[in-house]
Amino acid sequence: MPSTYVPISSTTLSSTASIVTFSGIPSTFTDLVVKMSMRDTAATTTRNIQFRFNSTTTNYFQTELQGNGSAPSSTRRSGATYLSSDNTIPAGTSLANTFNNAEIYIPNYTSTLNKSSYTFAAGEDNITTAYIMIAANCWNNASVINTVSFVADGVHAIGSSFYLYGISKS
Amino acid sequence: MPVTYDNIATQTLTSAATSITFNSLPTTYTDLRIILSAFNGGGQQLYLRFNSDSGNNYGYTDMIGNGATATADEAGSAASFVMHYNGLDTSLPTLVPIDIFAYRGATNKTVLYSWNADRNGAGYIKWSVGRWGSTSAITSITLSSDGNFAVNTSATLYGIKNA
Repeated sequence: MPSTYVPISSTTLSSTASIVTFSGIPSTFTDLVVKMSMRDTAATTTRNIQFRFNSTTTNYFQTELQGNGSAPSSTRRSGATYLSSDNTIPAGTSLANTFNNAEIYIPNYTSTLNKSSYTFAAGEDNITTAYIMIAANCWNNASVINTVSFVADGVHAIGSSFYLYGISKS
Repeated sequence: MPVTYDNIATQTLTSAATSITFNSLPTTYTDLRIILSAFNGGGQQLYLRFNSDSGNNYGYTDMIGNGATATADEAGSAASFVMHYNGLDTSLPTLVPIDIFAYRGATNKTVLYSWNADRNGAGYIKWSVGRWGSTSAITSITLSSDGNFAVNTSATLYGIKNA
């Protein structure tokens, strides 16, 4: 039986970066998974995960469910320029050496239908208000996904890591 | 290192169907995962059952977001896991990942699943934990609709091993 959870590419930052991109994604898998551990250098407590497909800046929609340790909330993003996970990255004024955990699951990325995905992300730093979030994502685009880009809300910090996996149905 | 995330079966609908069933599950894994991408083909609701059990043996607790407010609900003795929230869509796929833990165990079964249904300015997200009150090993899984799943609906079953 073939291996169905295959590492495609990974990046661990040795210097800060404004964007991290996986390009030339092979079309030989069925689904994609991205696992991230991120921190931002902006002088605030938290920043957002922001990502795009194929460098396209239109037609992103989201419904989010979020908890901050005191009250749950839900927000919506319509016709946005990227998909986001709000406040789930520890940033410059949060506890040092603390990174978030996040996963994006993208099924049927080679289909010619609109693309759904989900994001699960959480950042806890033991000091300030922290956030956990799950989001239903939709990119209204029938193109095959061949690029995933993580655009920093501030600046991606050294040590941030990004792992792209391909999942096969057979 | 052993392979721990195996494809067991995939079903992609080429015609509308009222249900998708995975039968005769192998006993060689520890946990199971299903990735369902579903379209509405005349039925909007989505239910999950194990071993064709239609007794009131399913309990679940949900957190739900509608883009404006967050709520929670629960059911203590339902006839299935009720996965939907405001239905499927005909053109925007609803993504439903389902994680089933210790499916061969002799204890009640725990399930985690989410309903990811953004509708371009509408829609819901639901995040759920479920319990099937049965000590039987899970040998079949049925996803069903109150009508039909549409063409292009796909469901893939993966087996995950501890080692």
